[in-house]
Amino acid sequence: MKASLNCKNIDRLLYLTEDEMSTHESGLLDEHLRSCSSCDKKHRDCLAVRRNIHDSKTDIHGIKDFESSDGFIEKTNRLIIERNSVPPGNQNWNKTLAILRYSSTIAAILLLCLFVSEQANSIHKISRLENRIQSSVNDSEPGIIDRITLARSILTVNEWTNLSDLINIKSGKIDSFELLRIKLFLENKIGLEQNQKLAFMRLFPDLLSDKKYAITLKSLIK
Amino acid sequence: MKKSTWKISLILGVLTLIMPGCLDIWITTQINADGSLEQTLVFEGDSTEIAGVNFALIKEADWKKEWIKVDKDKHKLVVNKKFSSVKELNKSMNPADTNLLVIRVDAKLHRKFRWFFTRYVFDETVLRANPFPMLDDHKYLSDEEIRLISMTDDRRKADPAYDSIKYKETEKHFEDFLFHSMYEDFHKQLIAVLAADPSLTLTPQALDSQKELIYSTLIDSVKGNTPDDILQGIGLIIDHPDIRTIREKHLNYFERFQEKMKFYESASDDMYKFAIRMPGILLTTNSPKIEGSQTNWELSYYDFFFKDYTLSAESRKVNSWAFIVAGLIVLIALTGLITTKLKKP
Repeated sequence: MKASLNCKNIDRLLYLTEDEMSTHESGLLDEHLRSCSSCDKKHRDCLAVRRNIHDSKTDIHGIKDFESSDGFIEKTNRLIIERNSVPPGNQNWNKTLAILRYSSTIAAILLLCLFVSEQANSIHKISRLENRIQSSVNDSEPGIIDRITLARSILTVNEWTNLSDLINIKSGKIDSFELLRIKLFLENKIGLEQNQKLAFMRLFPDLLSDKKYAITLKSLIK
Repeated sequence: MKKSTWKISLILGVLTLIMPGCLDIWITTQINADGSLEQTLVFEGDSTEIAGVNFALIKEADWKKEWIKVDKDKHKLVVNKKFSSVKELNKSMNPADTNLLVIRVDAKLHRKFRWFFTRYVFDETVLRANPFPMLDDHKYLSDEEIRLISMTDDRRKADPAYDSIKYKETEKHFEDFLFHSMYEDFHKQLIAVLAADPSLTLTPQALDSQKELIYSTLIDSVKGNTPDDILQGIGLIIDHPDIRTIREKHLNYFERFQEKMKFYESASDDMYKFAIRMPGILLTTNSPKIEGSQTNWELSYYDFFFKDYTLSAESRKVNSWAFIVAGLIVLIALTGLITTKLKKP
């Protein structure tokens, strides 16, 4: 009973080397080891493992043997945790740093998203503005009246009359087939020089797409 | 045969659609990043015309004014003022006194904070400037006709829908609308005189029953351009002694009508060139002309005769400090990530 009590009390010292104990503790340990062979074996094994670890020559089998010792792993883990544990003041500081780290990461991601969406929105608006300005520049080309006047100057009286006959518009309505016929007439006009033909077609690039030009053309020919 | 005032007025009005205006007016608004504004107006033309310009600011003393002589007959008046806010600007350009017959411009500025950028949305609305707004223009003119009348001559002729023959009809419709509107205003004043003086026995019903006939007579036969001339014309149709009494005693009731006529005649002659300078990069605008972050509009009186005309622009300006703050946040985040990685075996 006394021996087991001694074993329990001395257990803490079994894992320490001479320089990690006081003279008093060292004396007590030596006294106990002389009388207890199991503790003596445990102490020697522990010192051997520690030596191996220190020399980076750890033998896996040696560890396995040691694992068999009662509660060795748990005790070693506890000691490591105790050694690694930080004082309460430092713990608070670490928490603050962690919060700062995570919050700054989230803030950085949010800011990036905000920047990208704002840029995308602006680019969309600017490109729409560019398109509108571009189309208004195109709109400033000669009006339909000027274009028809120029066209009229290219055609003879007969050709002009033929063109009129081609356009059979009833009450302002015109179908795409009629538009196509007008376009073909203009494109295939006999006697026109190639450059004249091209100039003429440049005057009516939108003839097929916009019926109101053909309607105006018809009213002017009449 | 001498034409009636109203016909002369109309011809003047219609001519402005063809000829350049008497005054060229440039209205430039500079919007600053802090929300303050600076407005500069330049009036170019005859000096007497400039003195009678239809803007409330001409009577305000706190505008910086400078006269410049362009040539023998042409002068320029440059007026400028800085405003701390749009509210202040509106006090000058859209005075609270609704009786003032002036061209009114109502501005709105919205600043939207978007962290890296601040967006500026600016609207300047030239309020409807028809001094005779009693009749509905759509009863006389279609939307398409109003669109064509509102255009300057060059713009109209370039428009695909323009047809010179049809446009003459449009001008007639407009003439009809304008004369009816003017007469309606005069008629209302006349009724007010009858109500104000109990000694007058002519009834509003008697006037109303002859309204169209009076109108036709005024258009076709009446000479002169004063309320007295118009009353004399009315007297030809309605043979009542009260008409003479009104001519002798109550002509002051028609001063407002005369002011409106004057306003119409002078305002319809001018060309209005608006410019808005936005801070930062321009994002959107309804302007047809852009020069950097400046947007330009060239309006005739008829652009805002029938309805309000809104000039709008939106721009954005970079907030440098926001980029610095964001850079610091990213730096902290990166440092945190790197140190965590290094700590892990």
